[in-house]
Amino acid sequence: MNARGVDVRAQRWWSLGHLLPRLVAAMLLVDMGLRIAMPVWFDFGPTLHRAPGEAFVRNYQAYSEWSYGDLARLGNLPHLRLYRSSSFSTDSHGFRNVEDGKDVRAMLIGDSFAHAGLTNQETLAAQLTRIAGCRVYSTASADPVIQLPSPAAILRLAQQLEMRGGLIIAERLERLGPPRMPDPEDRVSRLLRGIARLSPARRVQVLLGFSPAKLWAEQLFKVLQDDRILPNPYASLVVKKTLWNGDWMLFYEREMKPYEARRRVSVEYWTVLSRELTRAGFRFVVVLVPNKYTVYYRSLADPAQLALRPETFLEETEAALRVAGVPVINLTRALQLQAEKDLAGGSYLYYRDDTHWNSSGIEVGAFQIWRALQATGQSLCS
Amino acid sequence: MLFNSFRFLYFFLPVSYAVFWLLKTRTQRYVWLTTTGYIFYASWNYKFCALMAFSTSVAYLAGLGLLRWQDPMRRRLCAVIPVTTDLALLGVFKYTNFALSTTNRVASWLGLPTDFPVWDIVLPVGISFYTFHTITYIVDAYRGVIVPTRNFFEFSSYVSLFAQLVAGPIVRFRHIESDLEHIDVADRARNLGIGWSFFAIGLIKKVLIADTIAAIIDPALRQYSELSSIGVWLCVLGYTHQLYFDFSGYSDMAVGLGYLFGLRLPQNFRSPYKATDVADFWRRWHISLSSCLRDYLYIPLGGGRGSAFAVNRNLLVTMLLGGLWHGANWTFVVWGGYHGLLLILHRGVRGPWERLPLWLRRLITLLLVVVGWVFFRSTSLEMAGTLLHRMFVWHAGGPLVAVYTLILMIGLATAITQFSPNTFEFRHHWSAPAGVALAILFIMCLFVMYGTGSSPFLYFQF
Repeated sequence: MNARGVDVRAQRWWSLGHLLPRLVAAMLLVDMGLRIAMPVWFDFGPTLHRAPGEAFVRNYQAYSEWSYGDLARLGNLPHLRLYRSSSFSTDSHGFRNVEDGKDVRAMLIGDSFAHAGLTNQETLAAQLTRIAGCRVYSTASADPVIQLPSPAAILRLAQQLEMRGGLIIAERLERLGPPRMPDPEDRVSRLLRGIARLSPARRVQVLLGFSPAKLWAEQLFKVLQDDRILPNPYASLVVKKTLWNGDWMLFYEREMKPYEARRRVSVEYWTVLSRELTRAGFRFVVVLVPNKYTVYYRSLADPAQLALRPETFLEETEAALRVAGVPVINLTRALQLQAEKDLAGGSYLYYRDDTHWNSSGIEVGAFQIWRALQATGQSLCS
Repeated sequence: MLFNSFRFLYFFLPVSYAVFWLLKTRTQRYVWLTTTGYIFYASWNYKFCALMAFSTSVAYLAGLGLLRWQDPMRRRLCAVIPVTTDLALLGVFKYTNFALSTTNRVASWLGLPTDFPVWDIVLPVGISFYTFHTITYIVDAYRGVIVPTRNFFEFSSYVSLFAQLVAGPIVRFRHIESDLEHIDVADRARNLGIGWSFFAIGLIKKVLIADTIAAIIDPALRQYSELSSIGVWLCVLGYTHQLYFDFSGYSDMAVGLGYLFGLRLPQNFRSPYKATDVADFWRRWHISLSSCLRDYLYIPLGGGRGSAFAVNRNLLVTMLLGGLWHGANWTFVVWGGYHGLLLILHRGVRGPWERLPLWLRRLITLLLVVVGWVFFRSTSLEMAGTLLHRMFVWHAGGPLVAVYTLILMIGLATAITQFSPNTFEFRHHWSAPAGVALAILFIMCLFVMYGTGSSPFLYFQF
């Protein structure tokens, strides 16, 4: 009994000293349980459990009726989601292709624009394959390291695909800026990567770093952050503009800022790639893809007065590549012309709620690549 | 590491608690409290552990000197050296750039060609608090109020106790000495319920009330020049309650954690928004700081003795320095000076003031405090001026996002601060419905922490 006559040793179940530590322990168990059970019960995309050095989980398959744009997600704008069904699958190498690499005549490296598409058949590699009549294999990835492979890594991959010569297409999105030279590879780092692939280190890293409970709580909380109940802190990441045909379109706020000042141009990475791959008997071409804002800025109902033309960066990059003797295809003009033509009919080359191009935009890009190669006397397939 | 983080709740606290109660002797528990305190501090910035250790060592050795020597000159040295050291640390880390930028500004006004470069100084978290712990210890030892301890780890556990390390309350050694002396026989079972009760209430205040208000007013105040008069008033009233619930919530959590380790930390807030005058406000708000300022600054300056001019001077100096303690910015100095002037004014009109109805005194006091918070919240005097102008001169502006939620939260917060007992007035022996309700609110806090991450406490910046 204490001084107040209360028997403090009788632990009533509702006593906070009894209840709260148990609740905290229960929350911890639930959190850890969800993390452990994750690969069995839940699907969190093809990148979470990929082995080190790989673009995606191998032999992955997913289908969704409820896919929507990354800008609507980024800005927490549920009323601006444009739902569409999508399917995503990877091959035995962990890349997004229609089928495994057989009789490959061209390899496509690049970022998320190179593997974008609602289905595997819509991707740039798949459309180039259809147009050219020979196999174009995609090794694209959103991972900033994998999307800029070293010449040695490309040649190793080409060897795995049994490519003898052929074309290497390096796609690059404008927003990502000049590519950085990858760190030099050595046997030790490759050995460590091989060990990491086999070891449970990645699994432990995912276990500690990714919490399904946190993800769901964040998603649930975002429902409250609708600018009515609570402010939406994500809205400033995305800009909603109106096109001259009256439709709205979302843009990534960061894509619009670089037009205030001249951006640094660097072509060192591609120059090295071109030299090394040519020496190894391959052909090489760089494909420059513009931001959505660069394509649509003149189609806005109220276009901004810009200090610099948005096309400037890619034009300067293209010029620098030509001076360095590196073959280059700039898709900006082709996409701008087609976008203006399609606007009257209310169709677009980029998703209105996403940063990426859609199948129409990819098709325009693919045709432009094929035509540009033909114009220089090159074939995608030889 | 924050109290409202999963790293703390899931790992640090359970491990600290379990090991503490497995240890049996006093010294073992002192060493463990010291260790956990430094681990907690290192999670913020391990490099500054050395600074805290240095401050602790200097004060401890000075305490030993005060035990050993009776010679007035030596005793004075034992007091002056550690106090000077601590104030120097504060001065260098907290006020160097403030002094340099102020010098540059004054020089610019005078047309002098000086331009001192601003240094890249990182403010060690909690330095304002642990230096006050060591200063109060030495001054109390010098005055004979306490007997300095010979046990280094007893002293270091007092300085580095993680519960109050980074944002108070400022605990004087005399308040905790008895509990530290009897730490080996502390009653775990008795303190468990009350400790978790304080902790839960503090977490609810911080996560559900303070952070909700902050989510609405922080984006609005970033664009303060676009706010209407109503918007400014709502933001300022919101901040008034955000600050109270954030800081008192932290203090409650600190007290709760103290209880879990057998230590009773002092009350830091006593329903400050129920104050009937400004002097009463300062007996209720951040009590540990205001009592330190009273005992170690105001009274040594002369306190309430002497002429009216002397007393007013003492009040003003104390409040100006109290404002400066909060941060190296002129807005804090102005805030302190504002309260100093209010205290002086209160001394002059005490008679007529006491004849006003109680509700009117509380309302006016609250409004005066709200106006003061404008300086506290503003990042510059220009921002404070703009906000105050819009509060008292009508200005149209854009609508506030989530305004109804803000109004609801202000209403709820006002009802709690005006009509509810404060945390120390509860018995903390809850009935089943109340216990379950608190547990549900606690779970909601965990959900919010999962959904939004952990937000830092406002007083960490001091």
